[in-house]
Amino acid sequence: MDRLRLVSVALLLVLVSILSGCWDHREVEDLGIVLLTALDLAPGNKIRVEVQTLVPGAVVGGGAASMGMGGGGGGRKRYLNLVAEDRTVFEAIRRMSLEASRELFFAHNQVILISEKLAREKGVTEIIDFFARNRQFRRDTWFLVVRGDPRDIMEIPTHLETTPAQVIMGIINRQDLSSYFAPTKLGEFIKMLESTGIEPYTAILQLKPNPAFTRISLLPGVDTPPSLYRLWLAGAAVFRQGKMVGQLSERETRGLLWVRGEVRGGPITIALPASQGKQELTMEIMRFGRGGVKLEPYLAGGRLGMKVKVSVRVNLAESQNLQLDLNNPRVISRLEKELAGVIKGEIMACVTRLQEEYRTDALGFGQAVHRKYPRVWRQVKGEWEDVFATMPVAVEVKTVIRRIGLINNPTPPHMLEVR
Amino acid sequence: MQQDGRGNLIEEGRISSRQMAMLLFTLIISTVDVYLPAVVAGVAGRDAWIAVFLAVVYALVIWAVAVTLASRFPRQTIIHYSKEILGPFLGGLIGMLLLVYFFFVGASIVRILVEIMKSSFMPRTPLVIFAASVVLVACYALFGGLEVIARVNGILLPLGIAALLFVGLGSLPQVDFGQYLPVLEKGLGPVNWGGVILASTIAEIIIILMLYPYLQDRNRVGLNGLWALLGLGAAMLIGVLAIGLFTAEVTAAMNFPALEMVRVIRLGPQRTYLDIVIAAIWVGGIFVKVALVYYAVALGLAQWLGLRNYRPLVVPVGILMVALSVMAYHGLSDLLYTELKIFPGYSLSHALLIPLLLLVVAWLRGWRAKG
Repeated sequence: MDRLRLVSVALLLVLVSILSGCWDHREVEDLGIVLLTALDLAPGNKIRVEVQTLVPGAVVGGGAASMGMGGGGGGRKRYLNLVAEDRTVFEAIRRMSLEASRELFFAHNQVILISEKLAREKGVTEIIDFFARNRQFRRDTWFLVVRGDPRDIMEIPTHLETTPAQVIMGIINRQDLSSYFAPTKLGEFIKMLESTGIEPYTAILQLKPNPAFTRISLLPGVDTPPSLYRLWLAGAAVFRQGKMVGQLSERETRGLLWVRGEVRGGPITIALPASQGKQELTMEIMRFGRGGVKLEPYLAGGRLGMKVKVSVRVNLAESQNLQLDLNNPRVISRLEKELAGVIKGEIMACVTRLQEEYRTDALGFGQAVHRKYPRVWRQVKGEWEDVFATMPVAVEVKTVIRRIGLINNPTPPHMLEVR
Repeated sequence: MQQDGRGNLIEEGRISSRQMAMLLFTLIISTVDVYLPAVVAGVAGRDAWIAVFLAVVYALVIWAVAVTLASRFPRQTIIHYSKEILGPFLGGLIGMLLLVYFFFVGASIVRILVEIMKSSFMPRTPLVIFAASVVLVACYALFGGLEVIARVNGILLPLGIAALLFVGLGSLPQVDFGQYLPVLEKGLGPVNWGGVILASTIAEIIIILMLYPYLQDRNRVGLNGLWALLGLGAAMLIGVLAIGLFTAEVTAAMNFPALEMVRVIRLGPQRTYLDIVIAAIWVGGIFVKVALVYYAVALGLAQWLGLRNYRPLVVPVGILMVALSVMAYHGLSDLLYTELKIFPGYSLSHALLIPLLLLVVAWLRGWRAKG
């Protein structure tokens, strides 16, 4: 028995050396954990890679003290940005090791940013290979387009979060509160890029002047002035054959998301004629998703058309129209019709923009045609861009207003006789 | 030994036909879902799921031939009765061909294990470390004999099935079944070829020709094997979920779609990177597969040489297997090319044609050595 025990202990000791990871062992202390990777076009047809790494000591130690200072100021900065240029992405990343004391580790990278310039001029087809091939990057990393210089975005002061990367993540994670921008994950983007009959899209990240910044902010005595700029995710960048060709507005983006079945919430406002001009009601989109939309291509006289059927459930969030009797089902069904018109308008705005201006099928109409009419698809796929651009599109929206909140009728001033 | 026909059975352990079916299941599933979905997606496109059904049908034919042949010579392995059917020279040659086949399969899967570990997890570790460590453990299992391998599999297989179901169910919410439309766009040709490629891997079930004499309940093995094959079909359908997850084009471009499937699974916002956990279970499956094939080679070689014991051969065969796994391929491209272009013909000629030939000749010569 004793001998057996001795042998077991010896074997366990051997295991220790095996489990340490052989030649690939890495100590956490030696890793620079990257949260964000950005790509930009540099002069001389080079690629500029920018990464944001976490500074662990500053997060744990001095973090709380400098909370209001937005990363800089009092304590140590809680992140470190590195920039390098080279001909390929990998080459540039390894070039960073010349100035970084730690090995960059990308398994926790959350966001990949592509500058608009790179997306428009060079396209993403070549550079995306690295991210799919590398074992550290994950397919569920967000893949966004940046307006302007990504370096500006990576230095934006933060207040609630530790790093700008986390601010971006936070905004994306709450996309369902508005559905006004269309972020795409790396895996989804690659899927749309490689599939026929659909073109990729993703949200645009940009800086905008901070509306909370006032004259008072700079006066002595104010603790920490707010930054002049804020991060802002807006709309969608649409691509054609790997190159960004245009941008959709917030309204058009939601039209795109309706068709793609990716609206998960957000406000939607209808305007009703009232005694004093128009008065607005806002609904909150409740449940939607892939099941809420149907793309039905049809053939009419040898010509392809597309019927988009959408059905939505909403709750009333706010009514500024005092004359409405919300207890009356007929009023509700009138509101539902109005709302359907607004949603239809959003979708058609997107369709028109894509058909007439950008001529790119981000809606996936080609895929729907391919699935329903494989033979027809074989004929038209060569000139799909033209077929898509001239395709008649009909939108059918069905809406249901489920709940109207905690009160039924608006609270009118006492002199108004409503009922 | 007299009543065992004219062979040296060597192994004293006996396993049940259910254990046998479980061994066959592990034997196939540990490799078939790993990289083959990509190969089949490249060949059959979004119709890969149809190829799975065809593959099961083809595999049933292979299984039927093998079991019919084996049941004619229940106390011998193919190494013996091939000599009995075709004479010592031709029969010996056939026996050697099959041993080389199993040896090659063993070396190839060791290499697949190495390639996945190196590509996805530990690129700097020398490949011989992975190859040697799995063969070393298998070597230890071989000294225990067939029963030991079957019992280890009894522990590892439920874990493996749980992992498989986890991958299937975990990725299901993200699967877009629209990706499988339109069906049969390019006709049956590519789908059929996809089915053949899959069947050529499943063809490794002819290891039954080496293990049949060691079964306790031989009459039930045909049926249990059938269940194993149907289960394999279901498991392969989980593998082709990758197409619904990533589209056929992207899946075809992946080297290890199963791994990518695990990577997209999310259990809430934090628990997302589960690939290494699943990989650990999968390594268990690969170990059983290596052990089983390795066992077939060592045992068969001992019988071929007329030895009384296979144990002296275990270490040399293992060393050669590691050596072949290291030297047979330059890299992953080699391996995938072999798997797509060479292995189907090689495997099917050994797993289908050789048993069929033996069966026909034995029938012509009037079934000797029964029972």
